[in-house]
Amino acid sequence: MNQIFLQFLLGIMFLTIVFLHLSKKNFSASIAYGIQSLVIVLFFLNSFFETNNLAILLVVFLMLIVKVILAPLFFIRLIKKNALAFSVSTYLNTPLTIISIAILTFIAHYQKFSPLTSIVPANQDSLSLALSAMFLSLFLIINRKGALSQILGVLSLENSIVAFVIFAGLEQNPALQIGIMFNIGIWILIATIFMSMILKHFGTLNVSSMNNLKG
Amino acid sequence: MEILFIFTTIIITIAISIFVKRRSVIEFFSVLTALVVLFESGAIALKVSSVGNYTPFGLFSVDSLAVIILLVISFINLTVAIYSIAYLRQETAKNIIGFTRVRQYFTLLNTFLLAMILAIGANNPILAWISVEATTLSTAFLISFYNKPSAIEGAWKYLIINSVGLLLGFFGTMLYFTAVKFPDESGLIDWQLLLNSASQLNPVVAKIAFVFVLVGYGTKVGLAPMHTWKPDAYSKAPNPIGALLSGALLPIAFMIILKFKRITDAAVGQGFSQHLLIVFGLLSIVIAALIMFNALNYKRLLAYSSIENAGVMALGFGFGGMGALAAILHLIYHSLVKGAMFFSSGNLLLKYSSARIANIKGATNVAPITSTLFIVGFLVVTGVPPFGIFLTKMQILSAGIESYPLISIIALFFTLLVFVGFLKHTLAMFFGEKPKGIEVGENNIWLILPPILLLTSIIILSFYIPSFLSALINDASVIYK
Amino acid sequence: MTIIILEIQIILTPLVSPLCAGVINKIKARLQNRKGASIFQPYRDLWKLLHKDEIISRDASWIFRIAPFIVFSITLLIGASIPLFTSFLTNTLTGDMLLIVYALAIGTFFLALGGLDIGSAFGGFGSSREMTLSALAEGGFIFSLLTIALINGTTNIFAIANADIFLHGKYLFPTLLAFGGFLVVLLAETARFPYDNPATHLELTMIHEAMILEYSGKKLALMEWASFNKLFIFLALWVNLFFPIGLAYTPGVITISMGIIIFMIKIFLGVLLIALLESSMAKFRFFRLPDLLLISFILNAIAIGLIR
Repeated sequence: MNQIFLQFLLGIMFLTIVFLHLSKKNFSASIAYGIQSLVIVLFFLNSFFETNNLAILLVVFLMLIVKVILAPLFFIRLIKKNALAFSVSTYLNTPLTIISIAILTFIAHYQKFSPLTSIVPANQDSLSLALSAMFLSLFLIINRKGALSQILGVLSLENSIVAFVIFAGLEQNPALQIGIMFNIGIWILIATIFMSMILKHFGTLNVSSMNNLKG
Repeated sequence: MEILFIFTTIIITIAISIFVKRRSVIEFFSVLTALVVLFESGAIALKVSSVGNYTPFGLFSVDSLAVIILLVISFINLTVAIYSIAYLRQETAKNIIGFTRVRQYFTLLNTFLLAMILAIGANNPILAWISVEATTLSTAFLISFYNKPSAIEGAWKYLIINSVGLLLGFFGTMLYFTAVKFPDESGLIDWQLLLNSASQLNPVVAKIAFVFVLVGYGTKVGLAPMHTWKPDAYSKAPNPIGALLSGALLPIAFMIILKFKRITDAAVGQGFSQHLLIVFGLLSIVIAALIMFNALNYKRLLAYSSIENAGVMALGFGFGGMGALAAILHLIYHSLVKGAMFFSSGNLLLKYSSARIANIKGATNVAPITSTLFIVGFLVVTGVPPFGIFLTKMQILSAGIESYPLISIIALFFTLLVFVGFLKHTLAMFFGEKPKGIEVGENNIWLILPPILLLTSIIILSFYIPSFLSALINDASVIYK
Repeated sequence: MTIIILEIQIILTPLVSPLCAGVINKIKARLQNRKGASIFQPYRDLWKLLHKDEIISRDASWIFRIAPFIVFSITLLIGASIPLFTSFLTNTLTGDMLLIVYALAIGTFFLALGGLDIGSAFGGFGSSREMTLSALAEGGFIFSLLTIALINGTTNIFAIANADIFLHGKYLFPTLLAFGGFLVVLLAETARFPYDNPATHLELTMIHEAMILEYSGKKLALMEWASFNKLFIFLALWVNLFFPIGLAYTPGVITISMGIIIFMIKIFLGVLLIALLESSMAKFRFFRLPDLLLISFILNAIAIGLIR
């Protein structure tokens, strides 16, 4: 798979994060996350083809199961069980959200970050795109009021960091990737359990209703 | 070898907590594990003080600072285990929680301990990250332990803020790896290798990487402005867990920051990281001092005190030199005294069934020993002479007074403010008439012994430090100055 | 030879555009499990309208009478000035993208004026809605064309159509973003879902239809035909500017025929996409449309920002 295809995939990942910002339904947000994880799986598959390291294939397999299949499945099951079709609102309205997305993307491409993005000069565009994906994920966590959206924001942040690392040529030992995968898997489990607990106690996934702790 | 022994005992205890149904067996094994861990940590400490580090496998390596923290953690863990047994028995008697919860508690407690020990000795930054993330995961359910809406809120904030912080820390970690250009050998990249390749690190990347690491792991430490999860999490978690969070997790996250600081210092010189640490430290002290005045809940008060002390430690490492030595001592004292304060406030909670300061009156009449312990703890943690924290604070401030006079004076002012704020709340809680309906007397001897143990050790350590410990502290301060 | 090519270029737009509308309706009908009208039905409708009498209100002014002619001739002019199946018919007079955008704007202007002219309520609000959407869509329109212009270094659309597609190798992602942004604007300007339902009978939901509500007979035929032309023009711009493969670079019978065939296939794919979109979503309420146009604008702005 040549570079152009990889950059195209990164573009798809960026678009899924923009979609996560704009989507109004939880179901499509979960599917968007699944697509994003699929892109990351394809990146690792590409590195397997390049290095022929069987451990990477194991990582690919694990990632496919945990991130692409299980995570959206958990979320969708939770959505269906509790009839949470529509995601909770955001703090900024849509036009302001969109403008902030544009501003964050431009900041990531700004010159000040060029030492970061010229780690591998050939991939500078991709690294800038991955960096803007990171900023957008952080913005997603801040901007959205729904607990599910915050979870998806954290998971997108992890995906964007992994994408950045791959394009910067820093892929590490596959054993560590497995460890990270394991962590993320348990994180997803715990976060889903927390979501059902929040639903049970607060009746809504709206995080701004959780403001009892003061003083 | 020692470390294998530690790991096996912890894993056995976790298995027992999951599968065995008899409460006394679980409790017995938890305490036994804590004793074993303490003993082996002592053995490791003796080895490190003579040889310099302890590296049984490539993946696991403990140097002087790490072993100091290991000792502190194992000591606090012992007291936590003993205290937890009595505390949970009291709560079960009051029907607040049931047996399944107790089992979950001990399982998660030991998993937490395992993750922490892994994090201390992880020789590869990514492995350290995985372990710290594992501590977040194992404590999430401990914070939401009582299953009330406010507990879930606290745990949720804890989970999200810490996960985001750790992911940023992960990004910073990966940026350091850009210095190591050759393709994967079968060996892992360890701290020493990163340190040696620091010269190949692009200076701007080194600075950006340190910023990310400081913000990321600083969230775990609780430096302002990433501290917002601390009051909520500490106030909702069971008190023994609060003792571990504050006394054990904080130093580990700090140690990782310091390890990265060494690498950045090798790449761009000391000034950058020191300035950053000073900024965050000062900010933490100021914010903690200001919020403390209006605290309504005494467990949140302890959280603010943690933030302030984390700030003091950051200042110490930021000033460097003697400040670093003092900061390490401060770390030890703070962990011990925070443990004691969490235990004594746990006793208050059991007595009064409320965590609000306004509901606690006349505690000296109700539970005299606990009150004495709390008051002594308050004096220690706010830096009243002749206890250790007074000396370390003074040493840190004097280390900074030459190069950064204004900052030291501001820090001094706000530490005094902390003392005043804490005093105000202590006076409100402990003196005065006791309310009706609260029975007088201590509940259980095992609820008092752990804090007494911790406070006694602080008092002893304030005046006399055993030689192997002082050798370790000196060694650590030289490495991490 | 050149004469024949020029003639084809001029009459292709008005000739084929009703067919596009017919195919969209046919595909939609099929997806709804109906048989649907024949794909040549719009031709029959135009024929019928051209043979009918007109009724013009007493309050109509010269604007009402002239508007259909202006709108239709603009679409004819533009249809002849854009690369359809060739890329060598360069002309610097009408071949510039800014000219295209603003010539179409003149058409919209007179369309809206015609709607306002009679003074009926429906025409009034149709015009006001059309102006709102047109103003907001202009940003997205210009910026998506600007992306392509920046990538190719020129605003002459024939020069852009001449470019080699593999230039996209480096600029694939910005091109795709601009492609998506242009699609949103296309749907807005041609009054398709989710902006407007071309088959609605309810005046309160109309935008484009409301402006031509008062027209009848030949003028209505011209207006309808002009709207078909506009659809065709936008589709042609969409498929030819962003992915200019299959255009005839040199005159020659084989290349021209190949060019026309490939162009028809591309148009058909675009038509299919529009039909699928129309069958799968509902029309948005009016207050959500500015958000959608803003998304298109920002996507295009990001695309420009990603060009290095």
